[in-house]
Amino acid sequence: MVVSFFLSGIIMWLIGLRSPVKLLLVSALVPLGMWIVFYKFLAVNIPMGVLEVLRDMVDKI
Amino acid sequence: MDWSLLFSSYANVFLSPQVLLMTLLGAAGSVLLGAIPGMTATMGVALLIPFSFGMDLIPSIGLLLGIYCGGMYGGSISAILIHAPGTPSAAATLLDGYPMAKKGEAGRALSVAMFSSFCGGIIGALIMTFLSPLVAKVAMKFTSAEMLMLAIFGLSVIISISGKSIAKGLISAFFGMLLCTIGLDPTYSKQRFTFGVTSLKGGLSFIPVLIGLFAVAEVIAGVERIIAGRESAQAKSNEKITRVLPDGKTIRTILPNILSGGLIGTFIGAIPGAGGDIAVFVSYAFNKGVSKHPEKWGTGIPNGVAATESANNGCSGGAMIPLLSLGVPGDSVTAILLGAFIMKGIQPGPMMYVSELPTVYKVFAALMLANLAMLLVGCAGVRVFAKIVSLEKRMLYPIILIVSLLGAFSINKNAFDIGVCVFFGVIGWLMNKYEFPLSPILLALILGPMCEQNFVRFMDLNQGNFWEIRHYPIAVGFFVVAVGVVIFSLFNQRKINKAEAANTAE
Repeated sequence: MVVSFFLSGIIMWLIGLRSPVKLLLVSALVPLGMWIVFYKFLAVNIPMGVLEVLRDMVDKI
Repeated sequence: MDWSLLFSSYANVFLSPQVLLMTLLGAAGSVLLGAIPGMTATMGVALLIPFSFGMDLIPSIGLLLGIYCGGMYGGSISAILIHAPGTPSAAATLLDGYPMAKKGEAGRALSVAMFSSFCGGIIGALIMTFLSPLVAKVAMKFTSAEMLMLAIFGLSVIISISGKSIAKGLISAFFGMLLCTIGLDPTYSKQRFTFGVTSLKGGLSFIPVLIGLFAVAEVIAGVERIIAGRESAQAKSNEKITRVLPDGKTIRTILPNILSGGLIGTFIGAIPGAGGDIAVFVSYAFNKGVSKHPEKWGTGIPNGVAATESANNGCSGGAMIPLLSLGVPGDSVTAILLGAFIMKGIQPGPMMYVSELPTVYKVFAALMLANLAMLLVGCAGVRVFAKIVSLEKRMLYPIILIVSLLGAFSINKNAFDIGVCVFFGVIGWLMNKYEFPLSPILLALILGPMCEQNFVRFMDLNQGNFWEIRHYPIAVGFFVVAVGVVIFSLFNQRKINKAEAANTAE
């Protein structure tokens, strides 16, 4: 998850996206949204790295 | 055939709110699931089968068939829009689907895919209803000799999908064949080209390779084009979708492709071990071969999408034929369906047509309903799906990459597959750059293991005498057709190259 956050950010930066809002929205929300889809609906447990706390939060909800 | 029982079974299924709801839910969930690269119909059925435990047989079969048919169409959405086939059965859809999307016809491509999927599914369901015992009888005569020749016949279509250079197509196919040898030898379990890496013992996973070769390679190429200034980062499609179904003229143009695709898909689907991934390439090559304008195939024409999408949905009906007639699943999804039948106390097989005839007819009706549900969901979703390409390229590429990598991971839940996906992304990008076609690699990856296993089995059974194959008429028939296809494709390709050379000279 952390890797996809940075990877997408770097790609967007490389191809000329400079708006911090768009950068943050795409690089943070897309991986997070996809993780929720995979984790909650498709039972695929994607490693979260340092963001492991998010899994506990989602589990509690 | 007991017509009154058939009609009453159809009425029972089509008028049951529970069956309608379950089938629609299955189709809706599966279209979305299939659109995620790496998420196959098999995974959808496996994930949702626990929900069917508490239901009656027909609603649960409706749910599972809805997932099956929806997933087949869903795979084409990402193939058309982002060059990443959602399922292996959609691998050939991108040959014409993606160029259509690039030309600003994403909505049209999606509607053609949906309509063709629906028609292919209906053809499969009709053949299943009327000819299942007969087709099953032929399909079950397939031994290792017939399977080997079927694989060779499948490989013979490589020339048709090679594009301009047959030599480059053959090199790609040879590379794909080499990739198949990685892992444990399927007969003697000896390690080959694993280099001590445990994750390679099972061989390369097909789907991460598929996603890498197409989706990741496209992202790398797109980023390269933007950095080099050959494409605008703000570029986006502004296609206005005025209709969700293809217009009359398009339908007339694609109808022959739909019919032949549906028939090819149903027959190949009925052969246990052969599925939509083979049928789509065979159908594509056949339809391209008989087309008056084979040079247009691969440039983004609806006929290419129709030929492949009708074939993969035709397979769903075809795969049900050996399941119901003989109790032998035609593919992985029908293997799960077999489990669902057994859990409900029904044993599919020849006796089912005697003791459970109403159930058999209800399953026919449920498959028909599943295809209708897929059409409804597809109609509702075309406009929404097509919005994906209206995103700016600089936002679209990272999103494709994230979805692709997560999809590659989800197959085996193994981070090694992400590496495989990225590695093949680079390979795919380089191959595209030097104009090597990618589809022959896929075909070789699909057919290579089938070819090897059946060759070894056949040679073992016949004490190493390959000439014994002459005693298998169906196998000889496949071989003759394969030789015919190669010769025909060579002539066809020469004609295309001459026409293109003349156009360039003008």
